[in-house]
Amino acid sequence: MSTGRSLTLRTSLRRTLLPILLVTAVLTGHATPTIEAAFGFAGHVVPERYAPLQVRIGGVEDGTKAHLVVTQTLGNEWRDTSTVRQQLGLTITSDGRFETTVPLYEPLNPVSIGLISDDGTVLAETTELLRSTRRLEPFRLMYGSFPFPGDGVPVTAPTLPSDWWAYDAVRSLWIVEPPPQNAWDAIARWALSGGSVVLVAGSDYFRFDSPVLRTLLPISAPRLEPLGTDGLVLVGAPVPEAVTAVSRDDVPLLIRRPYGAGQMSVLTVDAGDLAPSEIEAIVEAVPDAARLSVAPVSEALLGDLPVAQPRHASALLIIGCSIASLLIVVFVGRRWRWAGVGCCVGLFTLLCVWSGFIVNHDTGIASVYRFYTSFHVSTSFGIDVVSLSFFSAEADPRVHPFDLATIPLQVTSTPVSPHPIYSFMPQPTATPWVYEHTAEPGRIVTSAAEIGQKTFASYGTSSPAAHLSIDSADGSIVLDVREDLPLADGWIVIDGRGTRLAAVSPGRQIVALDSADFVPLGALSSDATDSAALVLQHVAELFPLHSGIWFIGVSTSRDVPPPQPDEKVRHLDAYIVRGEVG
Amino acid sequence: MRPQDSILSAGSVQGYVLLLIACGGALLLSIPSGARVAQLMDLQWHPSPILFHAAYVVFIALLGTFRGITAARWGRPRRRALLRAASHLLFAQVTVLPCLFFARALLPGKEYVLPLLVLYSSLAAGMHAMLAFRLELWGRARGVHTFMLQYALFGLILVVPWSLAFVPGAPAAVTLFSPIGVALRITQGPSATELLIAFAFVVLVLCWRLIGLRRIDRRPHAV
Repeated sequence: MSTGRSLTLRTSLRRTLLPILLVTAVLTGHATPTIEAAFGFAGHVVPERYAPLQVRIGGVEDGTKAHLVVTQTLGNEWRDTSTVRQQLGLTITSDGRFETTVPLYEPLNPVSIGLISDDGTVLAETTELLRSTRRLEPFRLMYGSFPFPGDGVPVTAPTLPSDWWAYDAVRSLWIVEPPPQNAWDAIARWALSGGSVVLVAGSDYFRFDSPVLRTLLPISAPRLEPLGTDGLVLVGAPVPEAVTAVSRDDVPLLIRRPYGAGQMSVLTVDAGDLAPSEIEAIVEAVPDAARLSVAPVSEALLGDLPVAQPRHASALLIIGCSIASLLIVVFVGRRWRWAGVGCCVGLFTLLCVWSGFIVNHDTGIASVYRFYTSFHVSTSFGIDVVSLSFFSAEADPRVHPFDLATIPLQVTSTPVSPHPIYSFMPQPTATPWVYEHTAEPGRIVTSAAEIGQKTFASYGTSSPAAHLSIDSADGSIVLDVREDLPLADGWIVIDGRGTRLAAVSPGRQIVALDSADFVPLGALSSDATDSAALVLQHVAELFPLHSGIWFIGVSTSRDVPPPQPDEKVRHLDAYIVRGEVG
Repeated sequence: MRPQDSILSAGSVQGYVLLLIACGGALLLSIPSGARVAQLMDLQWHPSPILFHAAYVVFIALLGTFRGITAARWGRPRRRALLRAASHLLFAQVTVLPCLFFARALLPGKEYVLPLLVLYSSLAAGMHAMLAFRLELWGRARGVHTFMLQYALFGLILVVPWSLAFVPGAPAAVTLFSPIGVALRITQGPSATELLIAFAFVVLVLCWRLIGLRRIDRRPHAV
């Protein structure tokens, strides 16, 4: 009897309480925030280079503001370790997806990715192990399948990055399938910065066709013509700098042209129609991408900065005068007491005032010297490369601002020979030179580490600063400067010979040049300032100035008000515009 | 012949000149060599601009110790002897003022350093003079040579609390009991609490010793 009653009670309780509990759980419950992250191209990354990072966040309300923090530990307990953090603010969207580009330095240790709320609470955290997919050298990236003799890394449409510097770890990009139209912009800018793009188009060309692609293509007016009995070949008028890299009899198979600092190649026949030996020849003929580095310029200009400090001679003079004044006071004071007092007050007041004048006239000592070098490269697109080299005479934490709102990467312009203690290590690494720092869009916070020179680089996109064109019929050159550029020197270079422009003003101008004024590149820098000559020399190393028409403008190196009184900051801008032949 | 306690006595002048030479040397060392940044990079040793400020506080405190010891030998009443010693220290401060003004260039934008440092170093020098004076009197009353003890005490106050900063887990405030620690904090930008602790410590030691001195003076058998 009692068992039956308790059973009924239990059943009724279950019937009433369970729905209440469920409803309460649904109403009050919160989903646990989750984070999933994917680095590089299918996890393939290269140390000391940028990598795309795709993040998917779940369980967080739309519109929530948070910070994404990527933490990399370099080295190990036995060696010196340093921690590099990259953090950036984000607003969670409805699909929870977020894409950015971050530098990876030494992905041997797990990389931690955390979602931090505004009040500093860790909402979600995950770690990525990239040890097995890490590569030591840049790799070939394939969009679509291509029968490579080596190993290429496949990439799919959703993982094609929108930042051009996300291709930093890529040796050459092979486009076998038509990519989404919005991916072309980053690809074109990467090619402009030194990337190497191969369009495996053949008879499929018109599936790829787009306005952006037309500007990159080594042929103009592309069309298809029959090849043999059942094949088709892509033909067109080669642009002036185009070269045939691989051919079969008289049919060009691979046509290549320089584009900015990079290369654009197009395969004129279908990949399936190629013989294995032709594939090998094509792969060999495609040049490797080269990162556009401004570090050597900014480091050289930093080294040339005058040191801001009071002069030793002034200090010696003050010390000497103080001792002399003391002896005068003693001499006078021992004979006439009050005269001594007056002498003391007068002499030392004068010395203090003089000392103050000297200090006000001389520059105060600077503990940190920064040199920003910005290269603004334009064709139909614009890219910005900013290099910050700084020398810190004190091991204090510092904030180094950047003009570009992207995460800066620490770079080294010269190969650093490893310390003997690391020489027998099986894994080659360059981490000993990587500085402990926190990088955010637009700034770096360096920790109290060693004294010395460091260089960081940052990349960005911009609209072209100027447009240059030459009329092939009458040879007139039109330079359209879109903004007021603070230029000190400007040159027009045509097929490796250049001339200095008297003045460059904003707006559209027809440049009248005498062919007799054109001199070889090496002679151009003779009448330029030291910094402009250095920039010109570096630009000549990076860009194919020997072909095509170019405008190179260099600003005066100008001091800017430093954020701290003990800092000295100088900027230099260079504008490199590749012209079009009309 | 000048009396021993005169500001312009031979011994005192020697002290001022040595102070000027020592501070001047520190000032010269604080200014980095090299006309270009590339030359700075090649330097093996980068002197810190705050070297001068730390050296100045140490040397003025050392002068305070000298004056404290000699004041005990002047044979004047204690308070009068201490006042004379204080006037010596003030004159010493006047002689290094041009160097201090010049040292503003070492810490641009930190105009507060000069007055704070002069005020603190004066108090610290006074504290060291007072301690040296008391120790010297104590030694003379017992016929003990306190020469080594004086400098051991000077070194103890100067170095021990400051060196605790390098001990992991030691409270940071301990360094504020050392004039070197305080000088460094002042140059780096101290908080109000840090300044309060630093100044309160030297003032308390000064007052404690001064009160002790007054009590001894009141005793009929005081030496």
